[in-house]
Amino acid sequence: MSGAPGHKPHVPDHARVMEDEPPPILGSWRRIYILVICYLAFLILAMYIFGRAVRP
Amino acid sequence: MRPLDWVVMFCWLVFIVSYGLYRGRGSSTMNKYLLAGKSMPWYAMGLSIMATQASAITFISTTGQSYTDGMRFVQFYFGLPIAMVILCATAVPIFHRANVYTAYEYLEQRFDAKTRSLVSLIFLIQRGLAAGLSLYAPAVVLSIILGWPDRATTIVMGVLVMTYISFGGIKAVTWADVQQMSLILCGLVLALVLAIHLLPSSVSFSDAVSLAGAAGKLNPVTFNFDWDDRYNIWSGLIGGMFLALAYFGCDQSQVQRYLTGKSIAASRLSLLFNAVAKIPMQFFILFIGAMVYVFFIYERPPLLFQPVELKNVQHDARFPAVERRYQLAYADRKQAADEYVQANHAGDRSRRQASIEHYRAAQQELNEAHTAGEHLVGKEFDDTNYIFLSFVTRYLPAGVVGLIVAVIFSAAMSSASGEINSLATVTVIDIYRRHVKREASDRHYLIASRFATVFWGCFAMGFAQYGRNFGALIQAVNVIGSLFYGGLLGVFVLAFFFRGVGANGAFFGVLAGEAAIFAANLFTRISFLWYNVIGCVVVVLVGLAVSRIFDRVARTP
Repeated sequence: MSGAPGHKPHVPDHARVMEDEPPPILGSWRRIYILVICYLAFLILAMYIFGRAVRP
Repeated sequence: MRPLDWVVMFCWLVFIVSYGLYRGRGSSTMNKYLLAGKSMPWYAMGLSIMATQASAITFISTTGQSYTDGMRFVQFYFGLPIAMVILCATAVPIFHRANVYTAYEYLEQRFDAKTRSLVSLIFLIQRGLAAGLSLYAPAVVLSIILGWPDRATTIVMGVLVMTYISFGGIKAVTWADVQQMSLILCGLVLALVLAIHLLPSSVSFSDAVSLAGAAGKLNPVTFNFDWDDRYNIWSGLIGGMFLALAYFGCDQSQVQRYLTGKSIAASRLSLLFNAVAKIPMQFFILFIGAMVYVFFIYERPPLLFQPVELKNVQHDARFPAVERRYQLAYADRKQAADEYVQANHAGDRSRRQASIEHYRAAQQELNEAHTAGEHLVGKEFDDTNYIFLSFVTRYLPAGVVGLIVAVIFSAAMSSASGEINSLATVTVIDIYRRHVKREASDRHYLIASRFATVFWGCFAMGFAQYGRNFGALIQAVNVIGSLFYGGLLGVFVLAFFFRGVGANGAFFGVLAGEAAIFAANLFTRISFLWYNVIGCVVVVLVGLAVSRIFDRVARTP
């Protein structure tokens, strides 16, 4: 039950090595990810404050 | 629709097909046809991902949702940025380095052929039904506006989409999506500006926000926890994250978008663009719905927003009494709203408090009168999807109506094109090339891809033709879509994070995960957002357990 015996997966004709590149800002992807999570926290907080402010 | 609206809509549809054909030229190899030769810039992928996700029915029902239930629907998207970060760190580099056309092709590299085939079939069933719905659901709404039979509307949309994607492949899809998303954003801004502009001169923007807030429409964050409540911060963050992980990480209609990127960085940026833009965009759409609600405080809304059903119920003996109740409730709410605005301006706290209570009670009575009107049609009838279109067609100026209808066409076409394109890709790569004809020329597979595109386009149109006969099944099909994502997500979690799990663990894990989701759907009242969590967890646990026993045995010489 482990697939077709002896079968080798098809190697796509567009095979090429993909190098990882740094992001255009902040130097590393890790910092970008942290920024996105902080942005999410900011959005939720801003919307919460907005909801509280307009509720009489 | 006035003549100018028809001209605007017709010109847009001609433009989008011509543009798709123009940008899709040169798709002469399978790689160019299915992956755009891995040449797409991040912003095009990002807008295309957003356009594929934003279906027409999402667009028109989201505004209606805000009108009836407030803005808390935005929480549905809170998990999306977290999911995007996880996918950027895991799926994007893995798929790119695996050099695959489809996400399911990777599963054979990681596990085996049967797991790949099982997951591919799940995708084809789920997306095949969804593609038909992507055409049918907006067609029902648009047909009422345009005065066309819904069958004609689905055929027009289906043929237009097939014309440019069968010729230009994913390049045509992506670049047409960019234009369609740009139009959608322009249409949204215009709708908000006009909704505010059409308010009486005595009502300022600040008054409008106060009225919407007092009616509980501006409630973007709610903390109450309830398993069968779809929209609160917990279901949004956890359930929404799992849903977004499944949708963007395992659904070929999305994976194929970012596989067209010229680099891993470009693909990551396209997903992060969505992480940043999606919540504000949804907030914006919901805010339009809230402003439309305020507009209808000063302009009497019809008893039913769906014009055909409104005409039908007028022959009902109960109609005059319901209509009278509705009129009285509307007049009372308008008076209460005026009192509230005046009390606000005067800064009189006690008067303000009394007017709020009056306003909320009047709103409650109006809601009940509207529900009584809906019950004249049937217990299941809900005209939320017609609220925004009723506002657009009755109150917006000539030309703008055509533009908004073109926006809805665009949203429907961009979703359907992405779905049909990905269905064709999975059919050719994971079924035809893997199981039917394994060694053929590139040209052969290119032609097969074009045929598969036409097949799935015709399938979607055919399914949409029978949509009206399914009735309540449309609702069921929407639920069916959510039944499969948990299993798909679970198998990719096993593939990415559990290196020791083998093919049998993955295969039986998916089956067990799907069984768990179906059981949750049949025997509990748990909201569908949690199905992805349940399915994923069961796949991982069963996959680990089965793999410990059977994969070890299988490896023993």
